[in-house]
Amino acid sequence: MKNFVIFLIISQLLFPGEMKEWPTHTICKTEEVEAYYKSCDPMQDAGLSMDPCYRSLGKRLMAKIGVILRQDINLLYMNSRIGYNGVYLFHEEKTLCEKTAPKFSFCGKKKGEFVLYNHSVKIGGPSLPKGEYFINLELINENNYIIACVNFTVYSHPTV
Amino acid sequence: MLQQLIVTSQGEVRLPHFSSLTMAFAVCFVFLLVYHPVLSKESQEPTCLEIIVNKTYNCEGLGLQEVPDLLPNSTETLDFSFNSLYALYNSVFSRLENLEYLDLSRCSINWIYNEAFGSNARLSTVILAGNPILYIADTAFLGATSLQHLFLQETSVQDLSFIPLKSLKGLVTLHLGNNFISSIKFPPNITLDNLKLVNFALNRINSISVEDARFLKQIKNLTLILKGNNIEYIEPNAFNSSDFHHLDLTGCAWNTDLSSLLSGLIGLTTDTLRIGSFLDLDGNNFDVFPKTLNGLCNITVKELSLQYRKVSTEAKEAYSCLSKIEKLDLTWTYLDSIPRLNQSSILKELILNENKFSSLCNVSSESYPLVTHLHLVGNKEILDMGAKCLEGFPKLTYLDLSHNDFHVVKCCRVQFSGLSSLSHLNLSYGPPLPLDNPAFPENKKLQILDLSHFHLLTDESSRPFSNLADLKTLNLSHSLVNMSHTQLLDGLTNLAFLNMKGNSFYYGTLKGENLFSKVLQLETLILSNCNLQVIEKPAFQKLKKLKTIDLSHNKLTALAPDTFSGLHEISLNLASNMISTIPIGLVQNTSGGNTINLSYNPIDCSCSNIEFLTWFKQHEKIFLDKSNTRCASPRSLAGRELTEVTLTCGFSPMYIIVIVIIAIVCIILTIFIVQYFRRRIYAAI
Repeated sequence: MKNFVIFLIISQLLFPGEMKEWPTHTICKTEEVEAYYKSCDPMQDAGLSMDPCYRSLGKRLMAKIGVILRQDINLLYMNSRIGYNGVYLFHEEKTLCEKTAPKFSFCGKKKGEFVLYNHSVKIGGPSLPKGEYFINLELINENNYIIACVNFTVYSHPTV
Repeated sequence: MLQQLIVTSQGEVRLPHFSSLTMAFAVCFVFLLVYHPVLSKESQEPTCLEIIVNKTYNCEGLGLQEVPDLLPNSTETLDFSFNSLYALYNSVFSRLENLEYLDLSRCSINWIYNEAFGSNARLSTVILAGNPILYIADTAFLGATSLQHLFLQETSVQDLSFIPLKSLKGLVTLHLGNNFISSIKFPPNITLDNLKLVNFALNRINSISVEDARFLKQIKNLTLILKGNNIEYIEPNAFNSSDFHHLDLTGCAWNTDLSSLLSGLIGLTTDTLRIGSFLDLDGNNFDVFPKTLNGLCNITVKELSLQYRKVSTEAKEAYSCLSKIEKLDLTWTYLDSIPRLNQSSILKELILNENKFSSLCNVSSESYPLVTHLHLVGNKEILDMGAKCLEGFPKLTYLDLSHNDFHVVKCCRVQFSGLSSLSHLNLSYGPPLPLDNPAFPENKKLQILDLSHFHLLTDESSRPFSNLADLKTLNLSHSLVNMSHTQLLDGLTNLAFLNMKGNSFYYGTLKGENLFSKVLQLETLILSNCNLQVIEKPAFQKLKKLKTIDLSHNKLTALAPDTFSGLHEISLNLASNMISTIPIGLVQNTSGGNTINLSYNPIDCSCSNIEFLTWFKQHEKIFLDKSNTRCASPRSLAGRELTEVTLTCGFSPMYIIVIVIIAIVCIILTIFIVQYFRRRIYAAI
């Protein structure tokens, strides 16, 4: 009987009723750099991968990002906040879609559709100095609704 | 229950052993304790959000497998997206006879059976995006006689014959994006007289033959979206004598020259034609060569977009067929000089955003005699803007030069000279520049001026806008305005809208005599994020026409009751300040039925603020963002919404009676005790 009680308590501890956080995914892990991400959108996790895994931001890399739309994206803005070793560095805003000026082929997609961006990106800039980087990325539509939200953590440890 | 079990399992009626009884209770207790929230959650059915009573409901993402019984039969708009239905039978929505709008995106629907919407004769919109549909019965839409908008994006459609179009006679828009459709050919014997829009975005269409286009080409005013299809060939005459509203071929012809598409569009008339590209398409050939656009000579187009195509530098003759175009979009086309158009050009609007121009001066005055709207946003080089640089655009009324950097020492007298018709000028996100005095002497017709994030450099004696009597709207947000420059707004006699967001006041004080005293026609004033701590009394007194004032995100702690005296019916935004008590006079006088926002203020909910709290209760409707209008003190009410708080201040009659009775009893008792001790003392003597 006692075992049964213990089993009940342990089962409750191991399988809580609600899932509140998404798991942390590894993007890449090499000797020089480690990158992880975690979805901060309460509605859904996001798919994301990058290849190759470089410390240098100047090089082009392939990025694959997948998100199911909960609202239309006739307008889409990207907000990113960047921090280094626990200190906030800067924040950047970019317009990705406008009704009369759609930059990307997914602009204008509607609720329920899937957006898969599978294309090369070039972030630009020098190699990452040693340290821990935090990047929060949000995609926001015309209703100020958060289409996707991802937190990245990147550890750069140059070997030289 | 557990006790009963033990009783029957023993076969005879006797009390169970004491220790096993306690153990049973313990288990029962632990079970209830641990699983109580889970059990209660299961028994409770998730409820849909009511947006408009009996009409509009949102059941999005509740994991529902059927329409909840609680939903009233009168429902007109239903968002049932992100649930799981698997199959649509006639019975699923039959109860909701008034349904007009039904969103079923991502409901894992595989099967749509006969008369699935048969009882919904008023249904006009059905959204089925993102469902893995395997089968749609030919009679699926029978009975849904009002259906106008059908959304079937990402539903694995391969062929238009898969969709029962015969029964969709009233269809106005058909959305088929992100499927596997390879031909725009409609099945025979279909009549869709009201069809206005067909969206084939991001499908697998490679070519369009005359036969394929036979159905669509005869529809007048059609919007046909074919963007993101790798169309490499359109058979000549496929759209001959078609009269469309909008044809979108953006991101088509990945590996062939654009001319193979344009030659197929011979004889087409369309208001808008988009033949640009996207940044995320890996085509080998998005170049525009000198002869690429020759096909445009055989097409009648009013608005043309070539965004993200690479226009080659020798393409002087590329524009020979653009003389009948009224609006031309050349966003990000790798241009380094403004193209020369034919002399007879009737172009009215030119979009040149995100190119590599080094100068705006080399425009010949014959090129753009009729252009009224010019957009040149986010140029990738620093722009040279010498004197009379824009004289090549003499009729200009709208000019957007935002997000640019200029080779300019002083702004803006010589740069915009000659533009006497200019009424809308956007210079936001520009470099820090000293302003001429006056800054726009030749642009007297300016009505809208956007200088946000411009970093205005003026000296205190200058009156840069003194000649702009027609100006209605001025945006000076985040432009580091010197707020003690009282003459700054001199001459703006008709200004109705002024945005000063993000400019700091010295010592946080808005003085009684300030720069706004001169703009007497002002209706809207935005002073959010201005580091304001104090507003002196007659600050707004002269602004008799003020209707809206935004003071949010400042550091105001209190406002005098007569801060807005003389002003009636103004909408007041005081969100995110440090205001705890609100003088009743302030809100009573200002809000003649207009709105007040007091959210994110540390409001005092004690009896000292009772007058305002009572008024708030009586006029709740005029307050915005009530869910974030909360008490900060006293501690017992901290964090509570103002709408929930009911205060009773002062003493109630009952309380007074009780106090009086207690007092009387105490007095009598004291008298008795005193008497008693006296007697004892006397007795002792």
